[in-house]
Amino acid sequence: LKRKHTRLIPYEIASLLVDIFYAKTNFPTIIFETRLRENASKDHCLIHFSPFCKYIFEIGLGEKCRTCHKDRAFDLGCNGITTCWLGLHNIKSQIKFEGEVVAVLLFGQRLINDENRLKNSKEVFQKALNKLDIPYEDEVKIKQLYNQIEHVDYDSMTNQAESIEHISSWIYEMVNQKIQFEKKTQYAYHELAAYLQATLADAENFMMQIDNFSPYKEQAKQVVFSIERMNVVVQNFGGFLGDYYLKETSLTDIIKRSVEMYMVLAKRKGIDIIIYNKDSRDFPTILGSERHLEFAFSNIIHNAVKYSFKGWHRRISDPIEVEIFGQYTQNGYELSIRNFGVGILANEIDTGKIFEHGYRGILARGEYRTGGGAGLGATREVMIAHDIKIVLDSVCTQKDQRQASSKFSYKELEGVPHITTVHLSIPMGIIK
Amino acid sequence: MKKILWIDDDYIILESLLDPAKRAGFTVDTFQSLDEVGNFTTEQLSQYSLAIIDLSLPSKSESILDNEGLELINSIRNVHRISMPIIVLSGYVELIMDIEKEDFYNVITIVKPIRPSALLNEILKIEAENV
Repeated sequence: LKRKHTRLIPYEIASLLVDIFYAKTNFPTIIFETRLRENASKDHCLIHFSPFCKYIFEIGLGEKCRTCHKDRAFDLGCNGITTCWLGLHNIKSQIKFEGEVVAVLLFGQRLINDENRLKNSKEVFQKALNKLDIPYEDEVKIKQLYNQIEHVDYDSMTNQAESIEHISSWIYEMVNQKIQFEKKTQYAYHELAAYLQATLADAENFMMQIDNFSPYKEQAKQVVFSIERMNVVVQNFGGFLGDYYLKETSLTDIIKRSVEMYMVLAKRKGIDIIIYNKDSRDFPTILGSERHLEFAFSNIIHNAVKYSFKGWHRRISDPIEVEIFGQYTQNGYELSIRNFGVGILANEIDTGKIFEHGYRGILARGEYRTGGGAGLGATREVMIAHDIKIVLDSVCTQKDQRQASSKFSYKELEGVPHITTVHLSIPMGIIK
Repeated sequence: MKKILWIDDDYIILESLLDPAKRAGFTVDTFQSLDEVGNFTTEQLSQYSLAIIDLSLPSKSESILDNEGLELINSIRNVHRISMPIIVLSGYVELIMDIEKEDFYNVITIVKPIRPSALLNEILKIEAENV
């Protein structure tokens, strides 16, 4: 089984740290995580790079720099001042937490005011330049930018290292505490959920053995129902998606990623996913939690694809697409995700059952819904947390207009195609 | 009567959930870890008409949510090339979503908690469809 290297601090925090370090010290900084064996802020650090380094990346030599950074960061024998392949000086600083090196910072991109070091830097630079096969004008520009690199004192650079180490250790300690807390919560949830599932199963098995005419039958049913509700409470407590971190989030990106996720399934079913925005090329950017919104949108789009009829089963007049449509209104932005296929019974929509956690529902063609049992319930929770109103309708499309209604049982509606639409009303207040 | 391969790390759940299936006449072979099933030959796996896999199985790595069940499904479908129906159970929506993204053939995902009677209904339905 493959094991993935997991990062300790999220990309957003690593990027923020890089920004803080630059604001405090004026030194471009890269954070390498020991466990991740990689640059934790990815290419975010590039925005602070010196003009010399930026130019090196611009002319396509960035990969050499990345490799050099990484080699120096994880080279156990080199500490303190290190020299890059082009002769620039960096300081390498290890961040320790509970005695373990959790990260390595590499910062500087300067030349240290020391005769021997400067001489050595020039030699390294010249040698590297001689080996490069680049146009003459690039060589001239590189030399020009090299001569403009800021010279700094050794002491001023190492003093900065100390404060950066303190900030980093503090951040890692906070993140570690959060991780430990999450692990404990996850463990508690896992244990509670396991025992409640077993209790639910035992209670139902017990209820089944009670004779239908026994006065205890109703009581037993009530016990099963209560345990089921308790399971829902625990499931909510589990908070499977973690905390909401609100930030400017592009719905265009989220919808695009969610569509890409289910494109293979759609193609296999012969269904097109049409994205249509009436007002502009992009869906709005909103103040929201990217992780939660991505879960919610991918769930809605997955359902739309999953419950669409296959392209080759359709009549000529039937739509063969999942349509994602958006437009601005007076009160905000209206988004609808529509599909043609297996519908949902009106009764399930009217009673709100379809949004209940763990409810797997009856489809309008008489099948139990599989998967995503907690999906729609959780999706609605995510939307409510963002102040987004979610409404669902499922309309029968056949000429006799037998509307999907609680008057009809699912057997009567078997095979009747529906247009099912999830309407999302995004209030103006969260649109950026 | 048909044979079911049932993998769940939690013995209490395993016992409680499989009771109705046993009473309905299914022969159920239970396993509590992937390691026990991981080394099965194609012949051994082929004797089962249905696999039920719980996706919060004991993990070898640090995270409780590592989706090792996904590896097992991959192995059944792509290494052993067996098309038997598979029911995936999990209390973790992320794990269920990981499976659904893969869009495996003949795999049904169910978010726990589930009543034993509802699970038995799924099993009976699958049996009827695969006769």
